[in-house]
Amino acid sequence: MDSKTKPTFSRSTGLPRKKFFRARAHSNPLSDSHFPIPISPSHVDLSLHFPKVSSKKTEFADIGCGFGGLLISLATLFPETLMIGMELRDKVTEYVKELILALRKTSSGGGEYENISVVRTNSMKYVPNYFEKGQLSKMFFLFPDPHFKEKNHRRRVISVDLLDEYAYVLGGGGVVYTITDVEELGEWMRSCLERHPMFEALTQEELDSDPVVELLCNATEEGQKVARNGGQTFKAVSRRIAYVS
Amino acid sequence: MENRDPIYVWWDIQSCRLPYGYEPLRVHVAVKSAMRNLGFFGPIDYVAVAVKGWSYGDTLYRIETTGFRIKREYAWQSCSMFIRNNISEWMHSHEPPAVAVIISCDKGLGSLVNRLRVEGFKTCIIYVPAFTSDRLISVPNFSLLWSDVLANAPLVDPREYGLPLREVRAEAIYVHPSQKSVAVTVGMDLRVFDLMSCRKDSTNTRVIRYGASGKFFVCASNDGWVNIWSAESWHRLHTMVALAIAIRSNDSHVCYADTRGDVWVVELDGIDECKVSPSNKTARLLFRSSSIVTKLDFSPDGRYILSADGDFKIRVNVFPKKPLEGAHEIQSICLGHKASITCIAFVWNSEVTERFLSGSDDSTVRLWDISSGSLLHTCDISTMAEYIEVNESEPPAQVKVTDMCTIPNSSLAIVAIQRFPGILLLSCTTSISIKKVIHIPGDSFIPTSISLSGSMKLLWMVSRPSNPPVSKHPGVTRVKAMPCIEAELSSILGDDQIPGGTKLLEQLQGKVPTEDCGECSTRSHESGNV
Repeated sequence: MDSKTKPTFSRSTGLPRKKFFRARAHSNPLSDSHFPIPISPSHVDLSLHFPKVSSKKTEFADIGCGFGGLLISLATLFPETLMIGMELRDKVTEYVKELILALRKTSSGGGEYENISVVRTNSMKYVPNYFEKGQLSKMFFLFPDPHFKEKNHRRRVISVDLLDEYAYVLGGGGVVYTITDVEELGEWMRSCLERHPMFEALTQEELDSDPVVELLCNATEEGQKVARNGGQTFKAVSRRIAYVS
Repeated sequence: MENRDPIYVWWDIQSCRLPYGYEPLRVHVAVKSAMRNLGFFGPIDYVAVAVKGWSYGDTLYRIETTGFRIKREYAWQSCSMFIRNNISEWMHSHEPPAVAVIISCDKGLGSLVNRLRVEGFKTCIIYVPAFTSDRLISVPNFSLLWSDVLANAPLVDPREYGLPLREVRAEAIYVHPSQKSVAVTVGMDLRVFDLMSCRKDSTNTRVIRYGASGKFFVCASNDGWVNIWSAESWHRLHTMVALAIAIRSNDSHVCYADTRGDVWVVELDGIDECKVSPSNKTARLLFRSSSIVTKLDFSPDGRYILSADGDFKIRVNVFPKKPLEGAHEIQSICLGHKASITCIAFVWNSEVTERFLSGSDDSTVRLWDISSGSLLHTCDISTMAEYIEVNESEPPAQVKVTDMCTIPNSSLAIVAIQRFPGILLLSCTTSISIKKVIHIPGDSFIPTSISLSGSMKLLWMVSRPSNPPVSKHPGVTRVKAMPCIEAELSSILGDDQIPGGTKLLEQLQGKVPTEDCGECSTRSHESGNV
């Protein structure tokens, strides 16, 4: 990277510098923004996202991926799985895009980080546009916006109604991972998952044996901030089960 | 002895709005006759307040011509403030006896009205029930429903005031499954013509659905009521504005969607001829969509419920065995349309099941498979653009599908298109093709809502007046019928050949030669299944 022409990139590591990509934490998810939305999952061009991989489908989705910390950690843990991050803010999406491109270029073994990508979209409305029924095996909701006021509870990304849509795109056995540092939100998410007939909470043994669970706390920027401040985190992890109505 | 106290009227136009298509010149007559009915014959002084830019300037101009003094405000909160301040000022400078009439739903007016009563004024509130509460309604001497007041005004011809007739929009026609009655919504009126007897109902109806057995129908009005009507009686199901209604084929449940994307379900038990009783009397949330739901439909076997929403997708939910606990399982999501979906019809016959068609503003009719949600075929009907009546000044016509219905036991569908004086016959087996284009002869009759009745095999059509007016009676709702036997459509029936004859047409259309039904409104919607 020529740092004279790209001052937003670090000279030493070649990676983009976060301070040039800062954006406000909030973006209204219920408004209709003007970004392109695929007409249907078959219209999603995976070759744009994963140029070196063909004939595979995305299996992991990080909803509200922020600065991409989780995706980076998961990429090396599951090198054969395609994963995509979804983020509403455009500046932050730009950062993650540049980060992934830079990592791919500078990766030592070659061919690393080819399995992650990011897309700018409103995941509350458009998840069915990107993923077919039962396509995903893991979905991540790390430190979502708490929307404290009761009138804004409709905007929370985990709610019993939105869980209908997430259950649709997750196949049977698919897992939803959520974590937050706000106790009330943690309780809300846990109870939504419990109330929903198509989700069943993982047992403690299953949580301990899942390598992804510990990444929830410390892989992302938000998680590291919480750990620095000595805050408590609240996890809720559930598996999608078959439902006979 | 007639009461000749002076009457003062305040009207908050944003709070109690005029229904779409209602002629504004009628309002002052409506209020005057409502006061006469209450026994007040004194001189009336009218004041109104509106938000600048929210009502058409033309509407406000017409209201002003009839004698209202209008204050234009910049925000809706200032409207209610204006009314309160104006009334307070008026109270200081006027003495009883006088009559204060307030047309508003502002709950905060309760204390003001109380003060008026205490001072000795007669008070009357005219309100819309869905937007106000008992806090306001129980206080004044009299309270009237806004829709009742508006409905009781005689028709007014704007041309007498030197003003042009206003462009109006679609009607809707609903046919009872065994053709015992035909219902047409025309503006404020819901006209139901029973072939046995006649009944005229007046509500500001927006959407209506017949149950398949024909024992009842459900309608939603703009005033915020969802009512279920049977032959003798009716019940309030819910107080909210519903945009779409669906009734399950075995009449077990009614579902309706509100303006926020929530879909509610009500269980009906024991429907018989005399009594319709929703059990529990409460509706439960069936599911919630992230955008507004505009169409709801049950599949003919009752297994699925389809909802078309504002993001141009159709979501197919499995209708659960215990619907009151919510429908959580999504069977499929049908993506592909690029504009709002206007109509849904099922293709269900002996060879092919589990398919449905959807028509939309993007000029396509698409064929879908219900359980997989896959798009089987897209039929582009923009080739019909050449048949459409177009003005030179208007931009190139977009061929929008307005209504559609399928002929049972066949794989044919009948489609009505915006601005085309005729209908299309589509054949949909594995793919959709335009089989026939049928022009309707005579006065440019553009069907905006169509409905098929099974037993007598007639296709009923309602049309809106064309623009620019071609016929002698531009403001009139018109109803026509076309026989449809063995999936073949023959020619249009003459007025006297329609079952019910000219009497039915008179009831549904209004008196054709002399009266102008200048107000016609509501979106089109299909009737219950056959």
